[in-house]
Amino acid sequence: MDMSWAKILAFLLLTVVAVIIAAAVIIIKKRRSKEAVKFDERQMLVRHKAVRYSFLFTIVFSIICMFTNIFELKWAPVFVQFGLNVVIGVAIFIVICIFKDAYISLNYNKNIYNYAISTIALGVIHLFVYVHHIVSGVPNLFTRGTLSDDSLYLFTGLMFLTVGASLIIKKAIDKKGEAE
Amino acid sequence: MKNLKLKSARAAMDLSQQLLAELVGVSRQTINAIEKGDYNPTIKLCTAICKALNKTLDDLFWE
Repeated sequence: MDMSWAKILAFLLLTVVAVIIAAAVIIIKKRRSKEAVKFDERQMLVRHKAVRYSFLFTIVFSIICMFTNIFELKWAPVFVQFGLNVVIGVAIFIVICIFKDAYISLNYNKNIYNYAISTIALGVIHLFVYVHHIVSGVPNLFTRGTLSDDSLYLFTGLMFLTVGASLIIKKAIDKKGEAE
Repeated sequence: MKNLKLKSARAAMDLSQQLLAELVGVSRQTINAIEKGDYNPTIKLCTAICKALNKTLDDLFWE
């Protein structure tokens, strides 16, 4: 089996395992708290729109990747292309939801700053792993003119930082709006 | 188009956007969007707002 295909398979398996674990956690949490995440009608509409834009991006990006692979314009391994597609797609969904007030549910009553800070911390950890790899001599962002496998740490780190920063910016905008 | 009728009815009852939002079970931003005319609420939400403000649909949502 080709190495890149093995990586894709591993990534898909890990994704499936992650989804199963996440679903199990959500189901257990729902049963314990007996309350579902609640969004109002406008928030639901915004979330549907955000999914549409995110999905559209994923489709367009996949098509672009397909053509670059067909014409052998190598810019990143298939594994990185797939990961980058997911990371940017998720980031688009989250950022649209945050700025259109549809990310935080109505029954979320914890401090939003804690959430933002933990997201930023997660981003910093990813960036730290990436920098650590560079320092350790592992090929960094580009390897022979294409994005390296490690570049995914950079992109996921940036995604988490973007989400955390968006939450803080949105909270500041909301505070200003409430004052007015 | 801004919904000034809703805004004035809310202000007349001395309710903040947050309080009205809690009364009708939506987010503050949704009430803000309705007042600014950025969002057209469903009839279900319109009636909930009318009940909370003791107004009719004509009073608040008919031009």
